[in-house]
Amino acid sequence: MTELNGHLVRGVDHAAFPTFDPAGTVRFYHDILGFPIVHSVCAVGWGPEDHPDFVHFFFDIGQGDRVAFFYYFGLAPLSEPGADAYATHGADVPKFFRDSRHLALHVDSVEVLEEYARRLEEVGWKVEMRVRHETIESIYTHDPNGYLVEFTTPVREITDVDDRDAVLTLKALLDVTREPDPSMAKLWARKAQLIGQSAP
Amino acid sequence: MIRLFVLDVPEFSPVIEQAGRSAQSRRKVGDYVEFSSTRAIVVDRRAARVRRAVWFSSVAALDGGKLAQFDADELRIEPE
Repeated sequence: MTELNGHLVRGVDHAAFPTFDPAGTVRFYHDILGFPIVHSVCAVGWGPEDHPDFVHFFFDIGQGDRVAFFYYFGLAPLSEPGADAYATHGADVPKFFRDSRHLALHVDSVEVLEEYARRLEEVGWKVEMRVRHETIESIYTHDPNGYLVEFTTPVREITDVDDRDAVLTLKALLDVTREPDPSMAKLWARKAQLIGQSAP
Repeated sequence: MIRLFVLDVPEFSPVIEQAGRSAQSRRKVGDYVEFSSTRAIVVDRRAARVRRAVWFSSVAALDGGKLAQFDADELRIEPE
């Protein structure tokens, strides 16, 4: 039985940001800094109608913590190269893109997740979403500044299978974003080739 | 010939099971299950009992087929 009093978060699960430059991002975090590529999600857009297909990819930043990025297919850059990809944006920027930049705090169990939902709801602060993801379960809310805050707990361990899949995803993503009109269909086709080449 | 790859991890195992019902063949390729078929591969989300956030990322790779439908109800891949 988890003790549900006091300070129950256990640091950062992941901090997430949008990117228009997956190649530069992989070069910086993986190639230069040596952060392992550990997990990726390739998802077709769902939920809000304006949500494009996206790749959400993660680098290990030590102690099980991660920094994560969202790449959206078909989305024209919303800021100048090198500019902060969030702070320059007004209310016309789609909500999914503003919410890309979020802090995901780690908690040790679903029970603790529910405790934080309870603390928020007790004072009328809305828990906006509760989502069972591929490897984590999360609740989401926005802080008073409009920043998305996530509380998350693992539902299974990330394994070598996830890491290898993420490496193939990123190779495929970088290949298709070098060409005009990248899309999830092109990523899937390129990844099918890479899977064939990498299988023993 | 459609070639659909699904990552062989626990959260996608219901999708793998359902896809196997309409695909003509399946085999293990590295970390993935590859389904091959000259006719449509169809997976009903509710039959697979998969939640949405997992459902919409269940396709790892796809060659030789086009997505005819991928919404909260059904994944349908048809030959190109």
